[in-house]
Amino acid sequence: MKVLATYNIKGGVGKTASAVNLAHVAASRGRRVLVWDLDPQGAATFYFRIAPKVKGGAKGIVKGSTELGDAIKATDFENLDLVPADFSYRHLDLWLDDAKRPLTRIRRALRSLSDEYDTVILDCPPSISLTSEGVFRAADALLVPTIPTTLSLRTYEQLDRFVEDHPGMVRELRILGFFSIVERHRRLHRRFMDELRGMHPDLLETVIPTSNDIERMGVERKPVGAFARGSRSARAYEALWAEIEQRLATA
Amino acid sequence: MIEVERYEVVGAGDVGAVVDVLVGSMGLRIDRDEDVTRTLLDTAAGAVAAAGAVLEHRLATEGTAALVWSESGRVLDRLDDVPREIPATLDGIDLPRAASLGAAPLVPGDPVRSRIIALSCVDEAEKTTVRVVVDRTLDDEDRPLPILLEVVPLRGYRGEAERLVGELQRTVAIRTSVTGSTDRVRPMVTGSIGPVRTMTAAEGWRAALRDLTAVMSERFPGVLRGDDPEELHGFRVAIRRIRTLLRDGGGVLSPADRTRFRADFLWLGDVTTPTRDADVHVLDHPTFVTALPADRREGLGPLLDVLLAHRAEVHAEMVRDLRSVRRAEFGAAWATWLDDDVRWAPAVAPRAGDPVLDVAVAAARRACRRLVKDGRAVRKSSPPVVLHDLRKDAKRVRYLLECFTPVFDAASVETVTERLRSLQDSLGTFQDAAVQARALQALVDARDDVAPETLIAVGGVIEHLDRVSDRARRRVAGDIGRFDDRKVRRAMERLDRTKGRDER
Repeated sequence: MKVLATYNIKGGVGKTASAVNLAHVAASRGRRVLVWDLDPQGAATFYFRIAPKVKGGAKGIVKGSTELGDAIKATDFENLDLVPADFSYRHLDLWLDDAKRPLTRIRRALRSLSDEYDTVILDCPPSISLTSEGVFRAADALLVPTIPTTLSLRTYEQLDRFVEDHPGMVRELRILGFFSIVERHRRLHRRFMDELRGMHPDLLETVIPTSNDIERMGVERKPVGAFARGSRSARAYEALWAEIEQRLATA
Repeated sequence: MIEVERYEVVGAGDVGAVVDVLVGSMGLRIDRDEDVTRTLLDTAAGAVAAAGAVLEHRLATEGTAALVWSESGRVLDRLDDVPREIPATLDGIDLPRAASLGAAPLVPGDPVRSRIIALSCVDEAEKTTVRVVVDRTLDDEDRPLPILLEVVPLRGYRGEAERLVGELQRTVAIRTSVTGSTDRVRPMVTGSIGPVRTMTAAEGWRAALRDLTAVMSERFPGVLRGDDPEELHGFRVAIRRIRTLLRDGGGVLSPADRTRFRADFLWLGDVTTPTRDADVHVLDHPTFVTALPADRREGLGPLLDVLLAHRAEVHAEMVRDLRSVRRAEFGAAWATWLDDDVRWAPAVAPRAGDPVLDVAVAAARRACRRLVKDGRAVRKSSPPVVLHDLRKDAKRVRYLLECFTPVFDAASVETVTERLRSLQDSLGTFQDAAVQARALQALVDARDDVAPETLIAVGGVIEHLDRVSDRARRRVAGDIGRFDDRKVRRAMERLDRTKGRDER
């Protein structure tokens, strides 16, 4: 089971859209996929039309009184399940802080599902907190959507530095950054992309363009591939998934 | 994965009326309603079936076509707007779950006509909580088979599925069915591709194993349906033959593959044994009746109900095992192995590149020597387990001879098989009767609702079985003597006689 996390310290960069669409692509390619919506805003949960409620809440999962498996809901797509968001996730840091060995709690909660899923995608809230550190411990790779703007580039570098500075905490963790919400016709976007690629040649090649289809996800409440199969954005997520799989295979 | 629940509408049934109940009274939504000709597709080695999957080409009456990949009764992949013609391979067709088939040629089965209606139960957010499939399939003569209803619960929505089934049971006359919609598509008709003399040992073993795998694939739907004991019997014989070929494939197959698949086929044989035993009990019930004095026969009436109930229980258990992840994973690995040329290259094992005739003859002679040696050691006082092992020795010889019949000298095979058959009959009768007697005793012991007259009648049957078993045992010594003679030895020596002729 590979654990991936869509993560960025900054909000509004396309984390949830990436988590939902990549999960949908992976499931349609035959993978058994679980998305865990860790963001109390519950956008991934909303996209899948599932009620944002976990019996026992974040506390139950952190304390181990709620089995993560009992919280899972099937989505409308075969092989694609979800652990819904719950408003109590806003206190996840507090519960983790109270727990023994807080950084391994998320990893331990996932361990019982290793036979059931090939891929887990954690959709994380935008912050560096105890929750995100727990995610770093649990994940094999961070998928970092990055808008080609100055602020986004700064946060990407902050993350890169954080990982470098904590080699013990994030052993084996791979950072797979990619450009998201890209407007190719904008010269500034192109320039920032070139600059960042120069500094970080490891960035993924695939670029997720800005698109109406991705915005329509909120109206359709479905992954792009489910209502706009073959569209530019659907194809972009397919290419991105293929590239991620290839990178993970060569890890 | 949560299991699909299957029901059959009792009586003739009217699809329209059933759908009206589901949509009108129960609020389900129709996702798809199609009138289709369904054709099962698989490779010659049965790669799809071996993976626990079903691949269908569905041609709709309005001319559109789709490819549908299902596992455990769930449609996992569907590709619409494919060509109307049945594809020769899946090369270039984007059906992810079938990717492992690559460019392997597909063999179509016999087409069947069905109306399939897929419905969903949705909540207030329009989220699907339960799926329902209604299947009305026509038989060979265009007569409708019973309507099938499949309830597909989704994880986390078990309660909704239970409520739906409860409501269905109140409004439509249904009963549980062990088979589902995908079991109604007919298996492929496979031509024999068995071993021939010009092959290497690896090629010969591979051809024989493919043949047997095809037999298993053909029998599989019937095994699941459970309405014809012959289907399970044939399925099990194919398993035992495969096990023999794996056992005697040392030097031909790679040791790791051989070890792994021997364990898998042993498991597969084991999970089907209780159902086969139960089938034999039911089939033999009339014989039990006639074996009793007329005044005790009536007591056996309730025994048939007990046997049938037990048979239904063990069959349902077997179907669960045959639809399990373990079976699917092992099936997929088996099919991949059979199709992978690299793992059949001459270099994988020391005798893989030798002529099949040489290796198969050596295996058959080795098995025969073992049978003769063990047969000579049998005494009147030998415990049943010795005879049981002897029966296994005999089966091993028989299976090797039959699997490689096209390679061996036909007259020699016939001579050996004829003597062997008689020995096997005696050993089989001995063991089957002994096993049946024990099983019947255990079955009635386990129940506290068996009437005294039935107990007495069962006692009579057990006595009868003991007599049958004794008689068979007495015949074994003579049969061993007839097998262990010059004529059989000479035939075994001449198994490769055709080789000599060819070389001259």
